[in-house]
Amino acid sequence: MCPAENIKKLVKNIRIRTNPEVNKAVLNDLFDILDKAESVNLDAKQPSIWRIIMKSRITKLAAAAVIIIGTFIYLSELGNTGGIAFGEVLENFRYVQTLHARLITSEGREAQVWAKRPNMIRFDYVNGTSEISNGPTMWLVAKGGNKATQRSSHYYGDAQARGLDVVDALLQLHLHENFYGFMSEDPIEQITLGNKYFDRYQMRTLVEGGTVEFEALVDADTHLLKTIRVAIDVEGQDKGSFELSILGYDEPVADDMFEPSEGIEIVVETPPKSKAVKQEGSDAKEQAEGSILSGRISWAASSKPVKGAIVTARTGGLYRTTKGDKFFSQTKTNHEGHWRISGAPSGEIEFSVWSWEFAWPAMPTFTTNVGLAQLPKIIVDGQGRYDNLNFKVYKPENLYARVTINLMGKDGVPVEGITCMLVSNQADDCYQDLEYPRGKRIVSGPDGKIVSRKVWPTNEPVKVRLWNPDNKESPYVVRHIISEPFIVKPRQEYTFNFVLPRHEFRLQVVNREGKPVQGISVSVAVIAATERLQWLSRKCITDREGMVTIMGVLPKEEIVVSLKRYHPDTEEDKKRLIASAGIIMTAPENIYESVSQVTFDDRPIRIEGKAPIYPNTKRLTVRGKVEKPTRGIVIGSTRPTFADSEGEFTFEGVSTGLFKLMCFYSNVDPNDNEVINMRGAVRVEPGNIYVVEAIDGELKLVDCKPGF
Amino acid sequence: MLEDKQLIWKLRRGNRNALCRIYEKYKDDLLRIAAGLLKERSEAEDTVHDVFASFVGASNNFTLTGSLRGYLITCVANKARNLNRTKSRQRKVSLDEIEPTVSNLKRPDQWIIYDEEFQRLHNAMAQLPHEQREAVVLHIQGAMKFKEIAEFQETSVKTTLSRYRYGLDKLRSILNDEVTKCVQQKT
Repeated sequence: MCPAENIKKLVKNIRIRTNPEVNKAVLNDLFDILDKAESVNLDAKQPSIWRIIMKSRITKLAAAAVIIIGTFIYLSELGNTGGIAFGEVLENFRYVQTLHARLITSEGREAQVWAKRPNMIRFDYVNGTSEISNGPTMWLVAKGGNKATQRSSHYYGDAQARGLDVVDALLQLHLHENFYGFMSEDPIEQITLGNKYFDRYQMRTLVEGGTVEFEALVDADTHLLKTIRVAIDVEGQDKGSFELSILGYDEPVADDMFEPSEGIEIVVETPPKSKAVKQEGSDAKEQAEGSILSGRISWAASSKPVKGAIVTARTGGLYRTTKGDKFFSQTKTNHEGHWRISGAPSGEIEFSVWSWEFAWPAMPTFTTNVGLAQLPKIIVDGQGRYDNLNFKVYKPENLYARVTINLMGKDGVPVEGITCMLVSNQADDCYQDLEYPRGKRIVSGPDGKIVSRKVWPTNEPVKVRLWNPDNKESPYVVRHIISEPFIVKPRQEYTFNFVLPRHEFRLQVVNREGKPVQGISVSVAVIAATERLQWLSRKCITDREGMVTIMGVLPKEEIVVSLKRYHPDTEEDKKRLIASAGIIMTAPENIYESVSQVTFDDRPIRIEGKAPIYPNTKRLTVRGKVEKPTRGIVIGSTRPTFADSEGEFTFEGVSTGLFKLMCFYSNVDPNDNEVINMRGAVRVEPGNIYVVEAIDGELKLVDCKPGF
Repeated sequence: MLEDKQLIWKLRRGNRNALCRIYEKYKDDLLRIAAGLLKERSEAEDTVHDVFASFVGASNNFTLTGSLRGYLITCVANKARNLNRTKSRQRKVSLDEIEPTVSNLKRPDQWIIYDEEFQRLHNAMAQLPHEQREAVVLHIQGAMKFKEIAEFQETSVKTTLSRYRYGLDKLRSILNDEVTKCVQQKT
């Protein structure tokens, strides 16, 4: 017989071939549909957008952009195609003087941007307005292009506060948060879009309750950024994504583009004086009252100062902004790498450091660690000075450590399929996975080796933790095996050799007379405090001496042992359960040296019953289960049984305890009050037949007789 | 995941390259699944064509919440199920009631090219009840979890598991019978 596994492989690996001509024809069909959908879409949008654009100077820019992009691509065909480090991509971006881009915000609003350092025009497609940021001044041009409001440019102000200009600030995608991690040093793959090649860089960062994914597409020929995108996912919910797509670089843009058109009506907006006075007053008060924080940013490798790095100090937490009473302050380091922030209120202040030179956001080393989850923190009193808050930063190539783990059994054979991670020495919390660069969880291979080349350094001791609870086929059910604590230092290599214990727990099943019972199916699960039952082994069959060996149980661990006896004459797939029991026990301290014994009264329990049949209902289903008083663990089958045409039903293989019964009638009219889904409960013991019947709207015990 | 979102975003703006990429990326998977779920080759081809066509036509109003692959596979499975139901109803219709229809398909040839192994598996799959076929195809070829398949089939996970197991067993016995017959013929 061909085993089921082979059939599975056959179905899975079957490859399909398609007719290329038909492929082309189908694709053409789809293009037609796309064109129709597109024309409907454009018909709906075009008049308003077109009218606005024609009145704006942006039209001229757009036309220029098309020509320049064409030329640019043609010239760049001679460029090389090898991927470069993402830091170099950002370095290239710094030399870009003008650009044309499309920006998508978290609300899905689309805007087009034309920028020339230090100025920018942003055209909002949704409401038809445009913003012209010219140095510190901004004109907000209303829909229609006839009126504009002049005010101070928040784009310029925000960028200045971060030590950037508006073009660099665009790359931050208006994120209120700084996220930590490195973009993949090298492209993780090269993809083709149309007839062009793009290198894809990626970064996945853990945040409180979720993940943030960064992705960048870089033109493989020009090494210029094409798209950068961020998707924030918190507790499985999409909390928004931001995207910047560059449509053209270094287009010729005249300076007078960043001024409102002639003849446009301009209203100059002045901030209310009273408010301004109040703000100044409150700032002064805050500065006078708050703590002063200062320190120095230097390169870890050379101790040389890092110029122009942005230091952020704030009260911690995802999505917290400067709004409200939360503290948020940024400053830039000077030529000697020094920084100073004042006005910090009393409480816990979180720090982060960021600079273009770190590739993507930097990893500071300070009081705690440089792992993924925690940021450096300090508790301040809101009055005093806190100096020497020094941070060391690394370039990716100077940061990652390498960890090699060799796993073998006592017989010296390599052990495959074991997963590893680093955990904090203080608590067994997840610290960082030892991952492949592409984010897949790493497991030991056939040679028993795990090699992780990109491990974050730590300032606190961590441990290697091994486990494979999901790999039931491995002879090693590894749980809670840890290394000695160690500190991961940058660019160091660490090797661990583990000889894995087999953790064999020997269990003997005896009957009520104390004799070993053969052929009992034994499953063992660990009772965790909060999680569901974690099954360590399933359906091990006892031998002549009533013995089974279970892997992975730890000493003093609370476990549940499920015992089942099946009818010996039934087929493999349609086993008939005769008797079952669930026993909660604590594993002994000397678990691996001794044999534990459980008593299983394997005499059957049968429940026979009868419930009324109503003419309008289609089918009567009866469900039954035994619920243990502790922890709500359900033992035995909860499989429903169907009553026959007379309403009679039978349960077999029930375990000892309080057996609860519930009737369900299908096709019941909700207004039909006659049909009652009856319930009942019977305390059952092995070796008996119990008879229940419907009495006064309940299933009640009417007879109990010894049957086996 | 991000690439799919990006492709959809581009598709909504009429980008043909994005459509090509989506088509090339998922075409084979969808055809294989459709062929597994439906007995007729032409029905499988039409189902995938219709799914792509509906997807492209409705791309302006489409928001991707899960994976695009999962979405397209579910569309194919839904269409296949509808088709099977319609066919079972059509058996009751007498031939006189059927109006002549004209096919508007421009495609000249068959889309899926069946080789011997594929044909053999397809014939065996066609002998399974639809629920079992669905469980086997969606789990093995569609890489869907049993929980997802159970939700799709509106049954419990245990039922889905049973369907899957019975389906595999049946498939095994059908394919083994064929092998035995071949061996007997040769001897």
